Amino acid sequence: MTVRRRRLINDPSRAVSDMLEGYVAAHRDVIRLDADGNVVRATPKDRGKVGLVIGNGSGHEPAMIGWVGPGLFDVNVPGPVFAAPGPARIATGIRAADRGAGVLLCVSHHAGDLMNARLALETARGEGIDVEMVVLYDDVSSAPKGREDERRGGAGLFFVWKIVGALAESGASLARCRAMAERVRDQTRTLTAAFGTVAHPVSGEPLASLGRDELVIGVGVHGESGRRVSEDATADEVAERMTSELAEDAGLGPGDHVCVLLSNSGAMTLMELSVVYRGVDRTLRERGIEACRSWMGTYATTQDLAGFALSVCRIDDETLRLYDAPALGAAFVRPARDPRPVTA
Amino acid sequence: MTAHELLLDAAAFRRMVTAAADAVDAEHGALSRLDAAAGDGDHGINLKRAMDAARSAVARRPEESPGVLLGVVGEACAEEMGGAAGALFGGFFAAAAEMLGDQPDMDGVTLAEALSAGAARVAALGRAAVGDRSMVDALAPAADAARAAARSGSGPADVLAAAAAAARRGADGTRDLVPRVGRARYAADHAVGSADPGATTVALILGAWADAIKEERRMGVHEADDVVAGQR
Repeated sequence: MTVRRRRLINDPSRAVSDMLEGYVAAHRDVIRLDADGNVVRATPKDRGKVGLVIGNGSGHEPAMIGWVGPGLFDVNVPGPVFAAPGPARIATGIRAADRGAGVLLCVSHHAGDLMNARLALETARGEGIDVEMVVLYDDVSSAPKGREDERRGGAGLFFVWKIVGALAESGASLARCRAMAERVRDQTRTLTAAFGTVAHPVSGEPLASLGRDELVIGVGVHGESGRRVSEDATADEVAERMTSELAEDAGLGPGDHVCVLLSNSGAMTLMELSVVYRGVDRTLRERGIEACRSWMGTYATTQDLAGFALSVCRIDDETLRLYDAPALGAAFVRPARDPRPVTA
Repeated sequence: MTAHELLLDAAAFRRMVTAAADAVDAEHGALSRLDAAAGDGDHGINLKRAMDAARSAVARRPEESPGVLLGVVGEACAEEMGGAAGALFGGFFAAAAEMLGDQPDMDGVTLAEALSAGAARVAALGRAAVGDRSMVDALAPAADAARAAARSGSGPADVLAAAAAAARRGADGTRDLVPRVGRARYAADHAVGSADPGATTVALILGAWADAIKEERRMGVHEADDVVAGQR
Protein backbone atom coordinates (compact mmCIF):
# COMPACT_ATOMS: atom_id res chain seq x y z
CA MET A 1 0.00 0.00 0.00
CA THR A 2 1.38 3.37 -0.91
CA VAL A 3 1.43 6.03 1.74
CA ARG A 4 0.48 9.53 0.66
CA ARG A 5 3.41 11.63 1.76
CA ARG A 6 2.58 14.97 0.23
CA ARG A 7 0.19 17.12 2.18
CA LEU A 8 -1.23 20.47 1.21
CA ILE A 9 0.35 22.56 3.93
CA ASN A 10 2.47 25.68 3.72
CA ASP A 11 5.38 24.89 5.98
CA PRO A 12 5.58 21.76 8.15
CA SER A 13 6.72 23.78 11.15
CA ARG A 14 3.56 25.90 10.88
CA ALA A 15 1.11 23.09 10.11
CA VAL A 16 -0.49 23.14 13.57
CA SER A 17 -0.76 26.91 13.95
CA ASP A 18 -2.06 27.38 10.39
CA MET A 19 -4.61 24.63 11.00
CA LEU A 20 -5.81 26.21 14.23
CA GLU A 21 -6.19 29.64 12.62
CA GLY A 22 -8.19 28.16 9.79
CA TYR A 23 -10.33 25.88 11.92
CA VAL A 24 -11.26 28.63 14.33
CA ALA A 25 -11.98 31.04 11.47
CA ALA A 26 -14.36 28.48 9.99
CA HIS A 27 -16.18 28.11 13.31
CA ARG A 28 -15.95 31.57 14.78
CA ASP A 29 -19.49 31.42 16.09
CA VAL A 30 -18.44 28.55 18.42
CA ILE A 31 -14.73 28.82 19.21
CA ARG A 32 -11.77 31.16 19.15
CA LEU A 33 -8.03 31.02 19.85
CA ASP A 34 -6.87 32.75 23.01
CA ALA A 35 -3.53 34.52 23.46
CA ASP A 36 -1.91 31.29 24.69
CA GLY A 37 -2.91 29.39 21.56
CA ASN A 38 -5.71 27.45 23.27
CA VAL A 39 -9.06 26.72 21.66
CA VAL A 40 -11.73 28.29 23.90
CA ARG A 41 -15.47 28.84 23.67
CA ALA A 42 -16.59 31.97 21.83
CA THR A 43 -18.92 32.57 24.76
CA PRO A 44 -17.45 31.37 28.07
CA LYS A 45 -19.47 29.13 30.34
CA ASP A 46 -21.38 30.87 33.15
CA ARG A 47 -19.33 31.57 36.23
CA GLY A 48 -19.88 29.12 39.08
CA LYS A 49 -19.72 26.02 36.89
CA VAL A 50 -16.93 23.46 36.67
CA GLY A 51 -14.53 24.01 33.76
CA LEU A 52 -13.37 21.12 31.58
CA VAL A 53 -9.99 21.17 29.89
CA ILE A 54 -7.92 18.69 27.91
CA GLY A 55 -4.53 18.88 26.23
CA ASN A 56 -3.50 16.54 23.45
CA GLY A 57 -1.17 16.13 20.53
CA SER A 58 -2.40 17.60 17.26
CA GLY A 59 -2.98 15.52 14.15
CA HIS A 60 -6.09 13.73 15.45
CA GLU A 61 -8.63 16.31 14.32
CA PRO A 62 -11.46 16.88 14.93
CA ALA A 63 -10.19 15.64 18.34
CA MET A 64 -10.18 17.69 20.41
CA ILE A 65 -10.45 21.15 18.80
CA GLY A 66 -13.92 20.30 17.52
CA TRP A 67 -15.18 19.40 21.00
CA VAL A 68 -15.02 22.81 22.62
CA GLY A 69 -18.37 24.49 23.16
CA PRO A 70 -21.55 24.40 25.25
CA GLY A 71 -22.11 20.94 26.72
CA LEU A 72 -18.54 19.93 25.87
CA PHE A 73 -15.06 21.24 26.78
CA ASP A 74 -14.30 24.77 27.89
CA VAL A 75 -10.72 24.67 26.68
CA ASN A 76 -8.56 22.48 24.48
CA VAL A 77 -4.76 22.85 24.57
CA PRO A 78 -3.48 21.55 21.23
CA GLY A 79 0.16 20.38 21.33
CA PRO A 80 2.66 19.69 18.57
CA VAL A 81 1.81 16.94 16.08
CA PHE A 82 1.28 13.68 18.02
CA ALA A 83 2.90 15.13 21.15
CA ALA A 84 1.11 16.38 24.23
CA PRO A 85 1.57 20.07 25.05
CA GLY A 86 4.15 20.94 27.72
CA PRO A 87 3.22 21.69 31.32
CA ALA A 88 3.31 25.47 30.98
CA ARG A 89 0.87 25.29 28.05
CA ILE A 90 -1.51 22.96 29.91
CA ALA A 91 -1.37 25.29 32.92
CA THR A 92 -2.57 28.16 30.69
CA GLY A 93 -5.47 25.94 29.67
CA ILE A 94 -6.39 25.22 33.30
CA ARG A 95 -6.41 28.96 34.07
CA ALA A 96 -8.56 29.67 31.03
CA ALA A 97 -11.07 26.97 32.05
CA ASP A 98 -11.49 28.26 35.60
CA ARG A 99 -14.97 29.72 36.04
CA GLY A 100 -14.75 29.83 39.83
CA ALA A 101 -16.11 26.34 40.60
CA GLY A 102 -13.02 24.26 39.98
CA VAL A 103 -11.49 22.69 36.89
CA LEU A 104 -11.42 19.07 35.77
CA LEU A 105 -8.24 18.33 33.83
CA CYS A 106 -9.02 15.36 31.59
CA VAL A 107 -6.17 13.16 30.45
CA SER A 108 -6.36 10.52 27.75
CA HIS A 109 -3.87 7.98 29.05
CA HIS A 110 -0.64 8.26 27.08
CA ALA A 111 2.76 8.64 28.71
CA GLY A 112 3.39 12.19 27.55
CA ASP A 113 -0.13 13.42 28.18
CA LEU A 114 -0.01 12.14 31.74
CA MET A 115 3.49 13.40 32.60
CA ASN A 116 2.82 16.89 31.31
CA ALA A 117 -0.61 17.01 32.94
CA ARG A 118 0.83 16.02 36.32
CA LEU A 119 3.36 18.85 36.14
CA ALA A 120 0.70 21.33 35.05
CA LEU A 121 -1.58 20.22 37.88
CA GLU A 122 1.18 21.00 40.38
CA THR A 123 1.67 24.45 38.88
CA ALA A 124 -2.05 25.29 38.85
CA ARG A 125 -2.58 24.04 42.39
CA GLY A 126 0.40 26.12 43.48
CA GLU A 127 -1.50 29.15 42.15
CA GLY A 128 -4.50 28.24 44.28
CA ILE A 129 -6.71 26.91 41.48
CA ASP A 130 -9.08 24.14 42.56
CA VAL A 131 -8.21 21.56 39.92
CA GLU A 132 -8.61 17.80 39.79
CA MET A 133 -7.14 15.45 37.23
CA VAL A 134 -8.85 12.37 35.86
CA VAL A 135 -6.94 9.79 33.80
CA LEU A 136 -9.03 8.03 31.19
CA TYR A 137 -8.44 4.85 29.23
CA ASP A 138 -10.48 2.43 27.17
CA ASP A 139 -8.27 0.58 24.64
CA VAL A 140 -8.55 -3.13 25.46
CA SER A 141 -5.66 -4.06 23.16
CA SER A 142 -3.12 -2.09 25.19
CA ALA A 143 -3.24 -4.05 28.46
CA PRO A 144 -5.10 -7.16 29.60
CA LYS A 145 -8.26 -7.27 31.65
CA GLY A 146 -7.46 -6.73 35.32
CA ARG A 147 -4.82 -4.12 34.41
CA GLU A 148 -7.31 -1.61 33.00
CA ASP A 149 -5.44 1.37 34.45
CA GLU A 150 -2.47 0.58 32.18
CA ARG A 151 -4.62 0.89 29.08
CA ARG A 152 -4.28 3.86 26.75
CA GLY A 153 -6.95 6.34 25.90
CA GLY A 154 -8.87 5.95 22.66
CA ALA A 155 -11.95 7.07 20.80
CA GLY A 156 -14.36 5.64 23.40
CA LEU A 157 -13.49 8.57 25.64
CA PHE A 158 -15.90 10.65 23.55
CA PHE A 159 -18.59 9.09 25.72
CA VAL A 160 -16.82 10.55 28.76
CA TRP A 161 -16.43 13.98 27.15
CA LYS A 162 -20.09 14.09 26.13
CA ILE A 163 -21.54 12.89 29.42
CA VAL A 164 -19.24 14.84 31.76
CA GLY A 165 -19.58 17.89 29.51
CA ALA A 166 -23.33 17.82 30.04
CA LEU A 167 -22.93 17.25 33.76
CA ALA A 168 -20.57 20.21 34.18
CA GLU A 169 -22.94 22.38 32.13
CA SER A 170 -25.76 21.46 34.55
CA GLY A 171 -23.82 22.99 37.44
CA ALA A 172 -22.67 19.77 39.14
CA SER A 173 -19.73 19.95 41.55
CA LEU A 174 -16.14 19.14 40.66
CA ALA A 175 -16.25 15.97 42.78
CA ARG A 176 -19.35 14.76 40.92
CA CYS A 177 -17.87 15.55 37.51
CA ARG A 178 -14.72 13.65 38.38
CA ALA A 179 -16.64 10.65 39.72
CA MET A 180 -18.83 10.60 36.61
CA ALA A 181 -15.78 10.66 34.34
CA GLU A 182 -14.42 7.60 36.13
CA ARG A 183 -17.79 5.87 36.05
CA VAL A 184 -18.22 6.32 32.30
CA ARG A 185 -14.58 5.36 31.70
CA ASP A 186 -15.08 2.11 33.57
CA GLN A 187 -18.06 1.24 31.34
CA THR A 188 -16.23 2.06 28.09
CA ARG A 189 -14.15 -0.21 25.87
CA THR A 190 -12.46 0.43 22.52
CA LEU A 191 -10.67 -1.55 19.84
CA THR A 192 -9.15 -0.17 16.66
CA ALA A 193 -8.29 -1.66 13.31
CA ALA A 194 -6.32 -0.21 10.41
CA PHE A 195 -4.80 -0.98 7.06
CA GLY A 196 -1.18 0.08 6.67
CA THR A 197 0.05 3.35 8.04
CA VAL A 198 0.20 7.08 7.26
CA ALA A 199 2.90 9.67 6.78
CA HIS A 200 3.76 11.99 9.63
CA PRO A 201 2.58 15.45 8.52
CA VAL A 202 5.84 17.12 9.56
CA SER A 203 8.51 14.55 8.69
CA GLY A 204 6.65 13.04 5.73
CA GLU A 205 7.85 9.63 6.93
CA PRO A 206 5.48 6.71 7.64
CA LEU A 207 4.47 6.16 11.26
CA ALA A 208 5.71 3.00 12.96
CA SER A 209 6.80 0.11 10.78
CA LEU A 210 3.46 -1.23 9.65
CA GLY A 211 2.94 -0.16 6.09
CA ARG A 212 1.52 -3.46 4.99
CA ASP A 213 -1.63 -3.91 2.96
CA GLU A 214 -3.33 -5.95 5.62
CA LEU A 215 -5.75 -5.28 8.41
CA VAL A 216 -4.32 -5.05 11.91
CA ILE A 217 -6.52 -5.02 15.00
CA GLY A 218 -5.36 -3.18 18.10
CA VAL A 219 -3.55 -0.37 16.33
CA GLY A 220 -2.87 2.61 18.60
CA VAL A 221 -3.72 6.17 17.68
CA HIS A 222 -0.20 6.56 16.32
CA GLY A 223 -0.23 3.39 14.23
CA GLU A 224 1.43 1.20 16.84
CA SER A 225 1.32 -2.41 15.79
CA GLY A 226 -1.35 -4.91 16.76
CA ARG A 227 -2.56 -8.30 15.62
CA ARG A 228 -2.84 -9.09 11.93
CA VAL A 229 -6.07 -10.34 10.45
CA SER A 230 -6.06 -12.92 7.69
CA GLU A 231 -6.28 -11.41 4.24
CA ASP A 232 -9.60 -12.99 3.32
CA ALA A 233 -11.43 -11.88 6.51
CA THR A 234 -14.74 -10.20 5.67
CA ALA A 235 -16.17 -7.05 7.26
CA ASP A 236 -18.69 -9.24 9.11
CA GLU A 237 -15.95 -11.39 10.55
CA VAL A 238 -13.89 -8.39 11.64
CA ALA A 239 -16.96 -6.70 13.15
CA GLU A 240 -18.01 -9.88 14.96
CA ARG A 241 -14.54 -10.47 16.35
CA MET A 242 -14.06 -6.91 17.59
CA THR A 243 -17.56 -6.55 19.00
CA SER A 244 -17.31 -9.88 20.83
CA GLU A 245 -13.94 -8.96 22.30
CA LEU A 246 -15.33 -5.66 23.60
CA ALA A 247 -18.49 -7.26 24.97
CA GLU A 248 -16.50 -9.93 26.78
CA ASP A 249 -14.00 -7.50 28.22
CA ALA A 250 -16.81 -5.24 29.47
CA GLY A 251 -18.86 -8.17 30.74
CA LEU A 252 -21.81 -7.16 28.56
CA GLY A 253 -24.68 -9.57 28.27
CA PRO A 254 -28.41 -9.89 27.69
CA GLY A 255 -30.37 -6.91 28.95
CA ASP A 256 -27.44 -4.48 28.84
CA HIS A 257 -27.83 -1.20 26.99
CA VAL A 258 -24.90 0.38 25.22
CA CYS A 259 -23.98 3.39 23.16
CA VAL A 260 -21.78 2.57 20.18
CA LEU A 261 -19.16 4.70 18.48
CA LEU A 262 -17.69 3.79 15.13
CA SER A 263 -15.05 6.42 14.44
CA ASN A 264 -13.28 6.82 11.14
CA SER A 265 -9.50 7.10 11.65
CA GLY A 266 -9.24 9.21 8.52
CA ALA A 267 -9.58 7.35 5.22
CA MET A 268 -12.33 4.75 5.61
CA THR A 269 -15.32 5.25 3.34
CA LEU A 270 -18.78 5.63 4.79
CA MET A 271 -19.65 2.56 2.75
CA GLU A 272 -17.08 0.51 4.66
CA LEU A 273 -18.05 2.00 8.03
CA SER A 274 -21.71 1.23 7.40
CA VAL A 275 -20.96 -2.33 6.37
CA VAL A 276 -18.91 -2.78 9.53
CA TYR A 277 -21.63 -1.15 11.65
CA ARG A 278 -24.14 -3.64 10.27
CA GLY A 279 -21.93 -6.46 11.56
CA VAL A 280 -21.49 -4.75 14.94
CA ASP A 281 -25.22 -4.26 15.33
CA ARG A 282 -25.92 -7.85 14.39
CA THR A 283 -23.35 -9.20 16.87
CA LEU A 284 -24.72 -7.08 19.69
CA ARG A 285 -28.28 -8.30 18.97
CA GLU A 286 -27.13 -11.91 18.88
CA ARG A 287 -25.69 -11.36 22.36
CA GLY A 288 -28.89 -9.75 23.62
CA ILE A 289 -27.20 -6.35 24.01
CA GLU A 290 -29.19 -3.33 22.90
CA ALA A 291 -27.44 -0.47 21.12
CA CYS A 292 -29.69 2.40 22.12
CA ARG A 293 -27.56 5.23 20.63
CA SER A 294 -24.82 5.24 18.04
CA TRP A 295 -22.35 7.64 16.56
CA MET A 296 -20.79 6.82 13.22
CA GLY A 297 -18.44 9.32 11.63
CA THR A 298 -15.11 11.06 12.03
CA TYR A 299 -14.30 11.66 15.69
CA ALA A 300 -10.63 10.93 16.33
CA THR A 301 -8.28 10.49 13.41
CA THR A 302 -4.66 9.68 12.75
CA GLN A 303 -4.37 11.88 9.69
CA ASP A 304 -5.59 9.82 6.71
CA LEU A 305 -5.20 6.40 8.29
CA ALA A 306 -7.46 3.81 6.68
CA GLY A 307 -8.92 2.41 9.86
CA PHE A 308 -11.55 2.82 12.50
CA ALA A 309 -12.15 2.66 16.23
CA LEU A 310 -15.07 0.70 17.63
CA SER A 311 -16.23 1.65 21.12
CA VAL A 312 -19.06 0.56 23.37
CA CYS A 313 -20.21 2.19 26.59
CA ARG A 314 -22.68 0.55 28.95
CA ILE A 315 -25.34 3.13 29.63
CA ASP A 316 -28.10 3.65 32.22
CA ASP A 317 -30.91 6.17 32.58
CA GLU A 318 -28.74 8.81 34.26
CA THR A 319 -25.86 8.61 31.80
CA LEU A 320 -28.20 8.42 28.82
CA ARG A 321 -29.96 11.62 29.94
CA LEU A 322 -26.56 13.38 29.94
CA TYR A 323 -25.62 11.73 26.64
CA ASP A 324 -28.81 13.13 25.12
CA ALA A 325 -28.30 16.64 26.52
CA PRO A 326 -27.67 19.39 23.97
CA ALA A 327 -24.12 20.18 22.85
CA LEU A 328 -22.58 22.56 20.37
CA GLY A 329 -19.00 22.07 19.23
CA ALA A 330 -17.46 22.74 15.85
CA ALA A 331 -17.38 18.99 15.13
CA PHE A 332 -20.25 17.80 17.28
CA VAL A 333 -23.74 19.21 17.48
CA ARG A 334 -26.49 17.65 19.55
CA PRO A 335 -29.85 19.40 19.43
CA ALA A 336 -32.05 19.53 22.51
CA ARG A 337 -34.44 16.59 22.64
CA ASP A 338 -36.90 15.12 25.11
CA PRO A 339 -35.19 12.80 27.57
CA ARG A 340 -35.99 9.13 27.09
CA PRO A 341 -34.95 6.25 29.36
CA VAL A 342 -32.78 3.46 27.95
CA THR A 343 -35.76 1.17 27.63
CA ALA A 344 -37.79 3.65 25.58
CA MET B 1 40.50 19.27 43.73
CA THR B 2 43.24 21.77 43.18
CA ALA B 3 43.04 25.47 42.64
CA HIS B 4 44.30 24.97 39.12
CA GLU B 5 41.56 22.67 38.03
CA LEU B 6 39.16 23.79 35.40
CA LEU B 7 35.79 24.98 36.64
CA LEU B 8 32.77 24.92 34.44
CA ASP B 9 31.41 28.44 34.20
CA ALA B 10 28.53 30.01 32.28
CA ALA B 11 30.61 30.80 29.21
CA ALA B 12 31.73 27.17 28.98
CA PHE B 13 28.19 26.00 29.57
CA ARG B 14 26.84 28.18 26.76
CA ARG B 15 29.34 26.55 24.42
CA MET B 16 28.15 23.15 25.61
CA VAL B 17 24.53 24.01 24.79
CA THR B 18 25.58 25.20 21.34
CA ALA B 19 27.61 22.03 20.80
CA ALA B 20 24.63 19.88 21.78
CA ALA B 21 22.36 21.80 19.40
CA ASP B 22 24.93 21.40 16.61
CA ALA B 23 25.15 17.67 17.30
CA VAL B 24 21.35 17.40 17.13
CA ASP B 25 21.38 19.35 13.84
CA ALA B 26 23.69 16.71 12.42
CA GLU B 27 21.96 13.68 13.92
CA HIS B 28 18.23 14.50 14.03
CA GLY B 29 17.45 12.49 10.92
CA ALA B 30 19.09 9.40 12.39
CA LEU B 31 17.25 9.91 15.68
CA SER B 32 13.92 10.15 13.88
CA ARG B 33 14.68 6.95 11.98
CA LEU B 34 15.41 5.19 15.29
CA ASP B 35 12.09 6.50 16.62
CA ALA B 36 10.27 5.22 13.53
CA ALA B 37 10.98 1.64 14.60
CA ALA B 38 8.35 1.79 17.33
CA GLY B 39 7.15 5.39 17.49
CA ASP B 40 6.06 8.31 15.33
CA GLY B 41 9.45 8.87 13.76
CA ASP B 42 9.45 12.49 14.87
CA HIS B 43 11.80 12.46 17.86
CA GLY B 44 14.67 14.04 15.91
CA ILE B 45 12.54 16.89 14.53
CA ASN B 46 11.02 17.62 17.92
CA LEU B 47 14.40 17.54 19.61
CA LYS B 48 15.89 19.85 16.99
CA ARG B 49 13.08 22.34 17.55
CA ALA B 50 13.83 22.29 21.31
CA MET B 51 17.60 22.54 20.93
CA ASP B 52 17.31 25.39 18.41
CA ALA B 53 15.13 27.23 20.93
CA ALA B 54 17.59 26.43 23.74
CA ARG B 55 20.54 27.70 21.71
CA SER B 56 18.86 31.05 21.00
CA ALA B 57 17.51 31.41 24.54
CA VAL B 58 20.92 30.78 26.08
CA ALA B 59 22.59 33.20 23.66
CA ARG B 60 20.14 35.90 24.74
CA ARG B 61 21.16 35.57 28.41
CA PRO B 62 24.91 36.14 28.61
CA GLU B 63 24.85 37.16 32.27
CA GLU B 64 23.31 34.04 33.71
CA SER B 65 24.87 31.21 35.74
CA PRO B 66 25.10 27.62 34.44
CA GLY B 67 22.17 26.60 36.65
CA VAL B 68 19.90 29.30 35.27
CA LEU B 69 20.95 28.41 31.73
CA LEU B 70 20.20 24.74 32.35
CA GLY B 71 16.76 25.79 33.52
CA VAL B 72 16.28 27.68 30.25
CA VAL B 73 17.27 24.56 28.29
CA GLY B 74 14.76 22.54 30.34
CA GLU B 75 11.93 24.97 29.56
CA ALA B 76 12.79 24.83 25.86
CA CYS B 77 12.56 21.03 25.94
CA ALA B 78 9.31 20.87 27.92
CA GLU B 79 7.46 23.46 25.86
CA GLU B 80 8.95 23.07 22.37
CA MET B 81 9.09 19.27 22.21
CA GLY B 82 5.94 18.40 24.12
CA GLY B 83 4.95 14.80 24.70
CA ALA B 84 6.75 12.40 26.99
CA ALA B 85 10.16 13.30 25.58
CA GLY B 86 9.60 16.98 26.35
CA ALA B 87 8.56 16.27 29.92
CA LEU B 88 11.49 13.89 30.46
CA PHE B 89 14.26 15.98 28.89
CA GLY B 90 12.70 19.07 30.47
CA GLY B 91 12.70 17.30 33.83
CA PHE B 92 16.33 16.23 33.43
CA PHE B 93 17.59 19.75 32.83
CA ALA B 94 15.24 21.30 35.40
CA ALA B 95 16.37 18.94 38.18
CA ALA B 96 20.02 19.55 37.34
CA ALA B 97 19.35 23.30 37.31
CA GLU B 98 17.70 23.18 40.73
CA MET B 99 20.73 21.33 42.11
CA LEU B 100 23.11 23.99 40.77
CA GLY B 101 21.07 27.00 41.84
CA ASP B 102 22.85 30.19 40.82
CA GLN B 103 26.42 29.31 41.75
CA PRO B 104 28.72 30.87 39.13
CA ASP B 105 30.62 27.71 38.24
CA MET B 106 30.82 24.03 39.08
CA ASP B 107 33.51 21.54 39.94
CA GLY B 108 33.44 17.83 39.16
CA VAL B 109 31.51 16.90 42.30
CA THR B 110 28.78 19.48 41.70
CA LEU B 111 28.47 18.46 38.07
CA ALA B 112 28.13 14.78 39.05
CA GLU B 113 25.46 15.72 41.59
CA ALA B 114 23.57 17.72 38.98
CA LEU B 115 23.66 14.84 36.49
CA SER B 116 22.49 12.46 39.21
CA ALA B 117 19.60 14.74 40.17
CA GLY B 118 18.59 14.90 36.51
CA ALA B 119 18.78 11.13 36.12
CA ALA B 120 16.70 10.58 39.25
CA ARG B 121 14.02 13.03 38.04
CA VAL B 122 13.72 11.23 34.70
CA ALA B 123 13.40 7.84 36.41
CA ALA B 124 10.69 9.22 38.71
CA LEU B 125 8.72 11.05 35.99
CA GLY B 126 8.87 8.12 33.60
CA ARG B 127 8.52 5.50 36.34
CA ALA B 128 11.34 3.70 34.61
CA ALA B 129 14.29 1.66 35.87
CA VAL B 130 17.46 0.42 34.23
CA GLY B 131 16.58 -2.33 31.77
CA ASP B 132 13.17 -0.93 30.81
CA ARG B 133 14.62 0.44 27.54
CA SER B 134 14.41 4.17 28.04
CA MET B 135 16.53 7.27 28.64
CA VAL B 136 17.29 5.83 32.06
CA ASP B 137 19.46 3.12 30.48
CA ALA B 138 21.86 5.87 29.42
CA LEU B 139 21.31 8.35 32.27
CA ALA B 140 21.71 6.03 35.25
CA PRO B 141 25.11 4.62 34.23
CA ALA B 142 26.19 8.12 33.18
CA ALA B 143 25.35 9.47 36.64
CA ASP B 144 27.11 6.53 38.31
CA ALA B 145 30.24 7.05 36.20
CA ALA B 146 30.16 10.80 36.88
CA ARG B 147 29.99 10.29 40.63
CA ALA B 148 32.79 7.71 40.53
CA ALA B 149 35.00 10.04 38.52
CA ALA B 150 34.24 12.95 40.85
CA ARG B 151 35.01 10.85 43.90
CA SER B 152 38.40 10.02 42.48
CA GLY B 153 39.10 13.73 42.16
CA SER B 154 38.31 14.40 38.51
CA GLY B 155 37.36 17.85 37.35
CA PRO B 156 34.26 18.61 35.23
CA ALA B 157 35.91 17.69 31.93
CA ASP B 158 36.83 14.19 33.04
CA VAL B 159 33.55 13.75 34.90
CA LEU B 160 31.68 14.59 31.69
CA ALA B 161 33.91 12.34 29.60
CA ALA B 162 33.23 9.43 31.94
CA ALA B 163 29.48 10.17 31.93
CA ALA B 164 29.38 10.41 28.14
CA ALA B 165 31.23 7.14 27.65
CA ALA B 166 28.92 5.34 30.08
CA ALA B 167 25.84 6.86 28.43
CA ARG B 168 27.03 5.67 25.03
CA ARG B 169 27.55 2.12 26.31
CA GLY B 170 24.13 2.21 27.98
CA ALA B 171 22.41 3.51 24.84
CA ASP B 172 24.08 0.89 22.65
CA GLY B 173 22.95 -1.78 25.13
CA THR B 174 19.27 -0.86 24.62
CA ARG B 175 19.37 -2.60 21.22
CA ASP B 176 18.67 -5.93 22.86
CA LEU B 177 16.11 -4.69 25.39
CA VAL B 178 12.37 -5.22 25.15
CA PRO B 179 10.51 -1.96 25.92
CA ARG B 180 8.66 -1.97 29.22
CA VAL B 181 7.76 1.72 29.45
CA GLY B 182 6.52 4.35 27.04
CA ARG B 183 4.73 3.94 23.77
CA ALA B 184 7.34 1.58 22.31
CA ARG B 185 5.99 -1.19 24.51
CA TYR B 186 2.93 -1.32 22.24
CA ALA B 187 5.22 -2.10 19.32
CA ALA B 188 7.77 -4.14 21.23
CA ASP B 189 8.47 -6.52 18.35
CA HIS B 190 9.47 -3.58 16.13
CA ALA B 191 11.68 -1.93 18.73
CA VAL B 192 14.11 -4.74 19.49
CA GLY B 193 17.20 -4.66 17.29
CA SER B 194 17.65 -0.90 17.17
CA ALA B 195 18.74 1.39 20.00
CA ASP B 196 16.24 3.34 22.07
CA PRO B 197 15.98 6.88 20.64
CA GLY B 198 15.74 8.55 24.08
CA ALA B 199 18.84 6.79 25.41
CA THR B 200 20.67 7.56 22.16
CA THR B 201 19.81 11.25 22.55
CA VAL B 202 21.17 11.28 26.09
CA ALA B 203 24.45 9.82 24.81
CA LEU B 204 24.52 12.35 21.96
CA ILE B 205 24.03 15.37 24.25
CA LEU B 206 26.45 14.23 26.94
CA GLY B 207 28.98 13.34 24.24
CA ALA B 208 28.65 16.80 22.68
CA TRP B 209 29.08 18.41 26.09
CA ALA B 210 32.16 16.32 26.86
CA ASP B 211 33.72 17.13 23.48
CA ALA B 212 33.00 20.83 23.90
CA ILE B 213 34.75 20.88 27.27
CA LYS B 214 37.64 18.79 26.03
CA GLU B 215 38.05 21.33 23.28
CA GLU B 216 38.01 24.17 25.82
CA ARG B 217 40.69 22.47 27.82
CA ARG B 218 42.83 21.86 24.75
CA MET B 219 42.54 25.51 23.82
CA GLY B 220 43.38 26.45 27.39
CA VAL B 221 40.47 28.86 27.46
CA HIS B 222 39.82 28.51 31.14
CA GLU B 223 43.13 27.32 32.47
CA ALA B 224 44.32 29.48 35.27
CA ASP B 225 47.87 28.73 34.22
CA ASP B 226 49.74 26.04 32.37
CA VAL B 227 48.95 23.29 34.84
CA VAL B 228 47.00 20.59 33.08
CA ALA B 229 43.68 19.56 34.51
CA GLY B 230 44.92 15.99 34.76
CA GLN B 231 46.78 16.98 37.92
CA ARG B 232 45.02 15.40 40.84
